[in-house]
Amino acid sequence: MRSAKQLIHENNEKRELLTAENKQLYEDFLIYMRTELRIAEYESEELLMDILDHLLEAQENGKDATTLFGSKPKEYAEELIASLPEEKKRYVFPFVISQVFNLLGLFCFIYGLGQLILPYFIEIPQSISLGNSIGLIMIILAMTYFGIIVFFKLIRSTLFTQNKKQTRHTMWKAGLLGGGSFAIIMLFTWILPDFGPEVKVEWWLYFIIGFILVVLSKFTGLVNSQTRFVN
Amino acid sequence: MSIRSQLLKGVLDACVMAIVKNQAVYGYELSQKLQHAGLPDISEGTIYPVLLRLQKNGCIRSEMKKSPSGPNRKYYFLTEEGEEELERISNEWSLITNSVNNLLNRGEKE
Repeated sequence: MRSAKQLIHENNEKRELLTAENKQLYEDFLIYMRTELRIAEYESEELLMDILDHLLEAQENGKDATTLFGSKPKEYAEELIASLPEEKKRYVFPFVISQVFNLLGLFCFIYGLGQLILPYFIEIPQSISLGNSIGLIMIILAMTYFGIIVFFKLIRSTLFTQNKKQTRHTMWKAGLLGGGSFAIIMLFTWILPDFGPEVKVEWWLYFIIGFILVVLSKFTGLVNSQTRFVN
Repeated sequence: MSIRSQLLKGVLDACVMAIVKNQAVYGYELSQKLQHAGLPDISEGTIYPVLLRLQKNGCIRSEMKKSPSGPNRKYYFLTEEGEEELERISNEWSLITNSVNNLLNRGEKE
């Protein structure tokens, strides 16, 4: 009766028992599986644990990880992914909502803090345009979504390879990705016109809204982890 | 891929079920039993996609149990559906092997 969370915790501890070489290969495999977002989390964590147990026993018998993963570990991982069930939509939805609330909540805190501190140093507008703000939030969420997908793709391209040059290239790409998305968001704050009603929001109201959003985020996250109990 | 492992791919499900039918086993144990049964060129990891598939089809089920060596292990059991499926595959297999054996042996004599 272990939850996905417990399995991850147990995995973190047990993994330390692997030899350096075996750990390297297993961790590449683990990241490859965990960055595949379509497969069911619980089932894949269970499989990761089964394979870790297998490796530990093989290691005791003097075998290394390649006897399990074969000569093409990436193809092997793909074969497993194809055999695992897909994540159910009713698990994905609360997870995404929880993350979005968390992001918006933190955003409110930071904005509120800016509203509180900045007026002591510079002049800032007293009201915000509702349409403009909502538009920007949508753009930031969309950028985050695509950013995560591309970032995972980049991470996956560095796995199962000892090629240092390729890894360095990927680092550059990741840096450009981060800088590029920031530039795009900045561009939109600049070109997006004010529209919709103007509202004046006090700094403490941002804190309250932020707090409510973070609590909601934790709550949806909690509901999610409870419904995920399988078996 | 060697000819043997290509030939085996289709019947590996049945081999795994046959071992599990005999006695409940956990992952590592199962891979060792397959190797000792004379199938050493199957990489140890090959059983995991098979186990996932068999569980999805309801042919086997798993349960956490204490192993003789101490730690908890996930043991696999054959279900009733699994027994029927194994029976079906065994019958098909003997039909095919008889015919193929006849054909191949005849080829040798000519």
